[in-house]
Amino acid sequence: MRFDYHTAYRQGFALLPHTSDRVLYGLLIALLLAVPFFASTYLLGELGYVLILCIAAMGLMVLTGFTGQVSLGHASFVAIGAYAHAWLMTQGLPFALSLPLAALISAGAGLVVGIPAIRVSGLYLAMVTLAFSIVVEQVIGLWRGVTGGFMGMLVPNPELLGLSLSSPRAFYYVCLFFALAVLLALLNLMRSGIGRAFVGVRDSEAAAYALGIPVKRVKVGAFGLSAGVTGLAGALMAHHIGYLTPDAFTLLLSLDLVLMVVIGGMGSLRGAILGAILISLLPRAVAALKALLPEAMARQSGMEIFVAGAVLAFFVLFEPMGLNGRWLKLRALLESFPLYRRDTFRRQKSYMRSERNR
Amino acid sequence: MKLNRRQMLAGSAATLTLGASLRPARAAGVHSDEIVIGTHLDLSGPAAAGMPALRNATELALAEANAAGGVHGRQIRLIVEDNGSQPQLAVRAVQKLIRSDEVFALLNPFGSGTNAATIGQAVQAGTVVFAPWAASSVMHQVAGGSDLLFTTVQNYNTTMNRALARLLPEWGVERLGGIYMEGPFGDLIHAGVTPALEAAGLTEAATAAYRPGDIDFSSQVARMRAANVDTIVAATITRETVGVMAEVKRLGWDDVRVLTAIPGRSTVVARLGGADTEGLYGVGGWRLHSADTTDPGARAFMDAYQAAYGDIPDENAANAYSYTKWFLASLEAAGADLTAESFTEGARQTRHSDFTTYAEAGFENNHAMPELVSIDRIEGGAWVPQTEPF
Repeated sequence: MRFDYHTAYRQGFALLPHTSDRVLYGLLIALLLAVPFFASTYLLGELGYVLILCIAAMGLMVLTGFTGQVSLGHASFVAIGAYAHAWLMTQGLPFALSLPLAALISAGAGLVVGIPAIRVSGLYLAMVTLAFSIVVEQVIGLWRGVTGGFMGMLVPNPELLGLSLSSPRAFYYVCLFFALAVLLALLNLMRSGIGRAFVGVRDSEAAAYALGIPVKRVKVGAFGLSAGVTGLAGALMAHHIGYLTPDAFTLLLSLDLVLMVVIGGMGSLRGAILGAILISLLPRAVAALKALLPEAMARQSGMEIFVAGAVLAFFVLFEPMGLNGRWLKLRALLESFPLYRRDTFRRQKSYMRSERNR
Repeated sequence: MKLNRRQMLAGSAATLTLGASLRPARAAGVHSDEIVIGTHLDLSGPAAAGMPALRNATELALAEANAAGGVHGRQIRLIVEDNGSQPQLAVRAVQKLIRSDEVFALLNPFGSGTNAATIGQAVQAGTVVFAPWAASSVMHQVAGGSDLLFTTVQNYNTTMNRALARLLPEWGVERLGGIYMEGPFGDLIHAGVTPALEAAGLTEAATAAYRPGDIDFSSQVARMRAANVDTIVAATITRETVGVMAEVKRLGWDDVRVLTAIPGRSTVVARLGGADTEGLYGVGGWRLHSADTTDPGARAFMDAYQAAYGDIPDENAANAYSYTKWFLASLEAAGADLTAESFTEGARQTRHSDFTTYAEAGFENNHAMPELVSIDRIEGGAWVPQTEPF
């Protein structure tokens, strides 16, 4: 058991309050930095892609997990980021400039969607975002001059200061850098006034409004921020794919992102990361599983969908708080080992929902 | 600094251009008694239903070669990955095949977007890509004219152009309308129709578009009717072809010819459509065989397939089988010292003809030529050739 003894208010806000946290996360970062020196290039490519999905999932988490706005159209922001980045690079902009610009363009698109979207909520919002993603898919297909239409466009190789970043190792570091940067930025933002406003709007719009939070502006802002982060992931994904066609950004990707956020655990950036890791490695796990199954079963098509559905159903039924909730319980169990009380996480009647998803 | 330089060299294209001298003597995936090849198919996405045929036929052809002692004493092992029709998944599948399994070649990989996203990477890594199931000219563009890409799928634009160049005068077409799918397929067909019309001094009387998945074609056909066309080019695949024909029949519109492109001219269309598709014309790119065929090559294939999988193979299976046979012949021609270069040399020397092809074909600029077409018509529920292949 551990009890915090604070001597200043700021200590309550620390991202890593305990020495053990700092040591463990430090070790994790050191491990991530060292991976390229012993991992195969195949594993590096996979990890790079997982990191990209982590960024995208964090982007959606800001909107869905923190602000409570559903989006079934986040693949369109991935697409806008990817195409904007690829187009800007073909126009001769350097990688380092084009990447943030692509994120800004995507954020702008997010603001544009956000303005009509704040007028609806729940299912209707899901429909608006879904419609938006269909429109974006069509626009990409028909705007041949910029996007290359359905035939697609080639993404130039990334370069920084004359060094090629297209090797698996260099690209892994690029992805790692942006994933960490986004994580830190969002962690800080979410504990600032803006983040508190997001959570307030999620839990009770009326209460938030009464407290002087400009609800509409907060919602639109959350859309823009979320779209920007997702667009950044899209720009990186453009390099992962190498050749952009509209079928890379269909509803399937949107649903994958929603799955990551829901399975990871609403309202937590750690959940977004855990969810992204799980969902992105699921196809590989199924492929590995197939090798163990009898031939007749392994050859059945549709296995992947079945497993993904089963995992989702399992989480909804047995762990509604997602991977993050499971993580917190495990940690509590370890920290308080002999004294763990089974009912620690049993939900009690509460009037203050704001703190529920912390 | 030393490290950086090595890093730069490691994965980048520079290594490849710098030269064959750095490359190991033996190509990836080639062992003394085994050749490892890979493919990626849509095992979990929208096209999953058609994949068993493709996979089975590929494996059948390889198993036959292995049973006969392999190619130059090497057994061939195929690794199948899932691409779910999503480019992201395809990229990961191909990265696994190239980096982890170290395959020699990708054979019969499926999908337009999936192949477009992966072919560049594959050929840069020195992996042969044989018979991708995607638009061939686009694939060559993406691969930057690489020697390692061999395409066998007919170009939809050139074949449509060829068919129309003959049919426009023969049928005395005056007003032609087109119904195109939105997407690369429709764009390609349109790119074939336009020059053919120009050459005949005509312009397109009406065009209509539909989205993949549409089931109602009343507005598209009504637009054709309003423009009073005498011929409709339908850039449609299976269900859409049936949908267009059903609408034409429903209107009782008898004096119009409907011509569908290579993908629409499939046995499934004739079977699904029944009376609705009677009289439909189609551009054929390969020979079709019914289950009771007497063609010896087709008979042998169908019997072997049925014995192995208990199923009657469709035309996709026949094509996959045919392409795999061609791949095996290319391996044979490459000689015992198998590298990507020797394979390229070997494949270019091969000539291929079997029960699916109209004429003996070879690789010209790494694409299967000549691209012959025939005009078929559904009569009595089956496609009947109306012309000799031309």
